[in-house]
Amino acid sequence: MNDDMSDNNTADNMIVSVIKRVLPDCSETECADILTHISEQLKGFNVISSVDTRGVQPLFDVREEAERCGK
Amino acid sequence: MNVSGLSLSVLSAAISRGDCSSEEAVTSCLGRIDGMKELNNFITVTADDAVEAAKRADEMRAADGEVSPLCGVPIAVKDNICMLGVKTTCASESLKDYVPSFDADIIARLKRAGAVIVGKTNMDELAMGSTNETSYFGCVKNVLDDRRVPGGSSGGSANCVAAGQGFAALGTDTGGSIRQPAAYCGVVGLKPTFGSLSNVGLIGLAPSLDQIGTFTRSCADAWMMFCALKADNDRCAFNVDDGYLSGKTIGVPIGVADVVGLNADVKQAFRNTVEKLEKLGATVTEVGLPDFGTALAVYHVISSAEAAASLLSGRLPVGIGNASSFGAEVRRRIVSGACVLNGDNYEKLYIQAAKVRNVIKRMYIDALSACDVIVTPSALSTATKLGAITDPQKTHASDMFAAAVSLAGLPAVSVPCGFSNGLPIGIQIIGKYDSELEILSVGQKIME
Repeated sequence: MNDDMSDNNTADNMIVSVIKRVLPDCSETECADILTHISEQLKGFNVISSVDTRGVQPLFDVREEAERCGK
Repeated sequence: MNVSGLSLSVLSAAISRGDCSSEEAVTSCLGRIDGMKELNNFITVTADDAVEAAKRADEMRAADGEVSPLCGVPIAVKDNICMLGVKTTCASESLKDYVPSFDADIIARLKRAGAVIVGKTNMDELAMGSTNETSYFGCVKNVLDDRRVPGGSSGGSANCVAAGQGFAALGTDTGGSIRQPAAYCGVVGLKPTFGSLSNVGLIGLAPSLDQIGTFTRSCADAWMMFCALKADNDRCAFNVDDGYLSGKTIGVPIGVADVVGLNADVKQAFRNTVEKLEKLGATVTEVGLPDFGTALAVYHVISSAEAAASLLSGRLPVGIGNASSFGAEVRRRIVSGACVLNGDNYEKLYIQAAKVRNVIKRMYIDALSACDVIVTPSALSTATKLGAITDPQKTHASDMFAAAVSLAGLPAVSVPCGFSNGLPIGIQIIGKYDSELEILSVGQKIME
């Protein structure tokens, strides 16, 4: 098994464990459908890791910014 | 008097002059709701209460000339905004019998203004969706072509205004849920500055992104609604003179016309509208913005994490917590959010997304320092056919241009700017914080 396949298996195992935790009633068919979807989605999310965020603080709420700039 | 074709502001003036009554306007809307049931715009119609409220509004107008411009005007409300004694289902089986014991702040404001609420509109389940096809109560059919979707998640609100079943409607916008359906239905959809209107009593999707806003038939109506909802009656005049655009600078994002998936007719209508703004006296300049695809990914990381946290924590009203009654899209998003917050992903995805959000916000603020407003298409295409898009990723892509604006908390409006095969096309106008009057004024010039 190469590294890519190993990484994919690790990611899929994580997704399946999350599905079992948050949707305990999930059927095998639905679980497979969600696994396919989430697996693709998480790969797509990796695009954000290439953004240089050195020295940048996380932004959780824009309300203060909006209120300050709006005055 | 045939009131159904009037705009909100024209109707308000007509009621004020005594040319028609609120009861006539409400009866007209209720007749159109009943006559176009097949559109499925409403989950609950509050007909009896609306007629009583209309009678009270007419009495108020007769007794006291000093009333809100919304007094007696029929308005619809998205079904995720709590209303005392009226079912608020969020189009979810899990809340199908939920009747709030209080009014959301925004409903209380509407009632104080004397507005008449005609019913609660259909939507994507828990506001998770972009087509209105995830509603437990069935999909809304677009009034302009009943084989097509109205957009989402506020599809019922957009479609009911287009169908003349309400003179305005409230919606909510987390990552495009007002602007995209407004474009699909050919109406004006305003997402105000984040935090400018109270979200208290909104059954939200993602608290750091959710914003209540409006659907109307004109920009003047949108401004009238916004002022009334802010209880700011001192500056509600809306006069856009002929030379308004002279001296204004319109920002066009570099590469916006080359975004993958952008429909050719939408691209052409967008270009034509930018040319129109230029001919009307505006200066057009290119501005650098974050990659729309990256912003969409950031939006989905943050919104799914917040939605999962809300749903799994049991912080929402009775009924929620039983995930077995949720539809497929909601269940997928719960898993997506839980994965984003799980183990190493918390730092790698969620915290990194929150940092990139800060970068995106800075880029928008920098871009808006070089221009007055920024314009983009509102959506990638016109209204899609019912059931045509089965891949959730493609459905999410329809919010490409809207999501980044939500991350920054900026105000934006979608106004109609053209047609393709009889279907409306929308353009999004983005402004600085608290610049709703400016973006609506630019919108007015586009619609003239």
